[in-house]
Amino acid sequence: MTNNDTVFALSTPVGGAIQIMRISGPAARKTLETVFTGRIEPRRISYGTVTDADGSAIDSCCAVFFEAPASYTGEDMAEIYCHGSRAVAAKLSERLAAAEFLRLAEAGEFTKRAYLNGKMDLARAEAVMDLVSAGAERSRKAALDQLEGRLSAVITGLYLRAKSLLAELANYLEDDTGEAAFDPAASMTAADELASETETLAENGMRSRILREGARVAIIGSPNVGKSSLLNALLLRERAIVTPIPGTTRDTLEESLSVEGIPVVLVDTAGIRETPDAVESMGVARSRREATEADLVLWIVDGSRGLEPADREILSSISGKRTVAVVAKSDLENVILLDGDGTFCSFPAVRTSAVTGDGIAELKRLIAETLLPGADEGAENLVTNLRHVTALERAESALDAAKSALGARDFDAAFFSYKNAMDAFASILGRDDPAEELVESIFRDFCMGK
Amino acid sequence: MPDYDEQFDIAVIGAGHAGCEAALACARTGLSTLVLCMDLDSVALMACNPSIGGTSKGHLVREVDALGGEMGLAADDCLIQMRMLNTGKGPAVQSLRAQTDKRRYHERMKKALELNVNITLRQDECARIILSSGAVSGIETALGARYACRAVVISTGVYLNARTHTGEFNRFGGPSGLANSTRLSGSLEELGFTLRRFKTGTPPRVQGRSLDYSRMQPQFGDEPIPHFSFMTDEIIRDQLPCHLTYTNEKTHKIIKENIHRSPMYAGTIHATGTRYCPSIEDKIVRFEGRDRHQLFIEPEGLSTDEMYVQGLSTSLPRDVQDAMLRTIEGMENCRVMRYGYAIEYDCIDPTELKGGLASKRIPGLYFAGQINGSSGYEEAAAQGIYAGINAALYVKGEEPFLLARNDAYIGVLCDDLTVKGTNEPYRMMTCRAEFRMLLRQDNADLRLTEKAYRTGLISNERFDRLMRKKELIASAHTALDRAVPADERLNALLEMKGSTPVRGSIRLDALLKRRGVGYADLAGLFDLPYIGREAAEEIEVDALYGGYIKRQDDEIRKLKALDGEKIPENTDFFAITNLRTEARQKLSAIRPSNLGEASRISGVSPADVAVLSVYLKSREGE
Repeated sequence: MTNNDTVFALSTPVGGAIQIMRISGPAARKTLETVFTGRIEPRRISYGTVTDADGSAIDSCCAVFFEAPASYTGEDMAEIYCHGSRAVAAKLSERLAAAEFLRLAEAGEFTKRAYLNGKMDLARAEAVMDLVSAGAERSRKAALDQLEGRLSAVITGLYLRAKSLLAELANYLEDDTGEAAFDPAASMTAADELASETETLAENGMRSRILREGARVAIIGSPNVGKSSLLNALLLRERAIVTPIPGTTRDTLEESLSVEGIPVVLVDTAGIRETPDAVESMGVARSRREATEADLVLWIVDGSRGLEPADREILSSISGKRTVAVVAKSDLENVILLDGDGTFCSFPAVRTSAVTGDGIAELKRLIAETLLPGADEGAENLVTNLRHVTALERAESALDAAKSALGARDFDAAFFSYKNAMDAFASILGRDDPAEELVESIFRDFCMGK
Repeated sequence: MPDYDEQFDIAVIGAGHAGCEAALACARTGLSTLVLCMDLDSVALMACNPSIGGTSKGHLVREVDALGGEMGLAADDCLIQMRMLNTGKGPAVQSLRAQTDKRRYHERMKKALELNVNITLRQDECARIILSSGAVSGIETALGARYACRAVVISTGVYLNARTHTGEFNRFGGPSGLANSTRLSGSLEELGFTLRRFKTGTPPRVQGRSLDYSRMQPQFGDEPIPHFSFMTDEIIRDQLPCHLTYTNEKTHKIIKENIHRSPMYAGTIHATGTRYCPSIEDKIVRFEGRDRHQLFIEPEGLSTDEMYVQGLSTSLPRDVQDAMLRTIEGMENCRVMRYGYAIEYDCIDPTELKGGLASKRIPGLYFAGQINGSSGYEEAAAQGIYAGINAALYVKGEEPFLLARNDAYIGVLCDDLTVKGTNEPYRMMTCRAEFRMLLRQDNADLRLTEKAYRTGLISNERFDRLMRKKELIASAHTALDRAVPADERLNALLEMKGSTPVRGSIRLDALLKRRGVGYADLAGLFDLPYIGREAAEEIEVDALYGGYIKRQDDEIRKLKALDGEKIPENTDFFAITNLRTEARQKLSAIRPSNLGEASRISGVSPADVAVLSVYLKSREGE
């Protein structure tokens, strides 16, 4: 098979000290250039940073580029060696999955490509085919297991609704006698409902991703409220430099730890304040970004000092984020009181002292509970497969696109988007031939013909 | 060859819409072509509706024309009304439909065959296909003639062992009281083809004089009259209206009370009917909630008072047809001239064919039209020209002319038929074409004419016209490649089109991306070259839909990669043990010629395709 597309996958089990992200295909070099800051020279290992779309660091790491055909797969190939953290792996996977020209590799695909590109001898052909079919069988089984029961019913429901939206539009477009009725507004409403249900499902999927792959928790607060001390207290060691001078932390620091079994990357940020210091103000900008991107924000206020204008500003900037309020310095005289139900500014809250260690255990419990709320997990976390989550997100954005196309009465574009949405759902269910199902649905549900 | 009466390069069996295009395609490339037809008075007979085109079918007609076919030209010549359908629904589904004079259409097409020096048109019935060394070498007719030929195109329509039904009455025979063909089916079975029974139907024809048009809604043609053919310049002609009326509760009641007398429901017909062109009794049973169905009264021609009742296809008995027609508004005193009937006929399984509509097993044997399980004049004509071109190339020893799913509706039609097969008469639909944004009716010439140049069907004049159109498009692109200052005149135009005004300056090609702003609007303001309506249409669609078209390009690249992976003809799919059993069976039955086809077979999963690709690679170099 000519592999015009470029694929990626984590090629090591999650949990080791180092993990390898492998990228293979014609866009491998372009991908590495996009996400990695280090120098790229074939077969030379180099050190740098993998960055997110906005340029923020995901991890510092090593990477190497192999030029075709001198690589494992025989194609242009890149390997990124990053730290063994689920959160890093998740972040990097998401970053790569977002690139238009990349897709997740299928089971056994690197080996298959290696074979197809003549990197293995003929004797191994059978073995490779066994691998491919076993891999596919495994994922099919896994998919089936996962698709048992409620998830299958839910996705099938979404699929059928997308199909019927498409069929209704298709019938209208196909009909040249003027008999078929179509109400764009009703279709838009239905698309909207479908999109928001899909979004909820995908979000719940992300929640279960947190369980498997880790969460990003940002420590946010105005300068010198004790963010770095809190980081050290959580880690039980001196990682961040702590001084009484506001603005000591200029850049973000990241550390991995396990909080009640959930893998967490803690991000210590520069205190957020208006500052004339250029370096510090860059740090402040990154802090704000961390706050918006994190799965959870730990908002630190200085309990001995009370809220200041800077804190209020931060408060408004994190509205809508999942947040735990940390009232620090409980060893000092406190002027901040928690509400009767233990919340502060309607966030779940805890008093801590980095000096005595008071409240740190409670904080960990709160972090875990806020990241993975409730015992109804089983019912909600239906979608756990990254592929499925990606497909759901694709469906959702296609439905949104269909909605706006219908708003502009651009029916060709709406058809295209509805079809993308239907195909995305169908890909989760492994439907063989959605196009034929569409045709059948048009014939069955609409009286079409001359 | 002493035991042959005459020698031809190619024989075409049947002179319907498929056969005529096939014959002309062969003859126009210089091959001597025999056309056998059971009744020369029914060459290119429009046995059902008196119209050509419609959504996706109109696309096919334009494609046939772009390939140098006849249907578009003949329809332009014989139209009595023409409309561009689906305007306002977007360029992908816009399509032409012509009401045509049936008799004139027959005469016009027959004459085209008669005028071609390479065509021998003869009334006779083909009885047998003769092979030598496994390949086609001739045919034998019912009258006992033996003709040598190196290729045969079988386009027998609905005539093979046909039987018609009107209520309890049925008889062996073709459409409209014509004879059926009883001999060829046996020959095809001897050659190893499995025959299937399909069914279709037609509505009653009524006398125009007996209708009250004042109680119906007239529907007029477009002015100026649009045309199918890229070679037609202008049509100036009086057009006739069609008339719209509806069934009602009374009509439905009569049908329900008599449903047991319909041969489909009584079980007399065992053939597979269509879902998309259902009989009125089917519509009433399946869509019980509908209180009415649309009917169009369409003239069958200028020289007759017969009217076609579109939407009322039926095989109910004569007396029920009379009774139900008289419940319809404006038809209370209606007199039937021909009663509606259902017709069942033999057809082959099109998965026996490969790309180019050639038999996978027998070199020189081609099939086109309803024999392949399709329905519709346009689908037939499209297959006809395609099979004709490929039969001619085969005779000349040249590579086949293949159209992919991203090239043309013809490509989609033939790929669907030969790879997926069909369990009912197959009708073209725009939603079957995954690249519908590219496969528009307006750009059929740009898509196909140059590609088909090597077939010899493209006249110099047609080619020159295409080149002119391309030049005009290019000149417009050049002229649009600049910014203009926003002045009052421009903003007045934008306001008129409901678009937001511009400050400063704006690029001309950006203006064209705004809905409602056409090339002609800008040409008036900014002194752009005059490029005519057709070229302007390309520019406008491209500006509005460029993004989608580009996204489709990505899909096409994937499709092409898979289609480029050939599967050797001798591949033993059962020997590939890693394939799932269902996939092995399906692949063995259909024998796809490349991985793309394999991936489109239902029951073959992406994992199976991956296994197959590894297997093929391992066999390379053996």
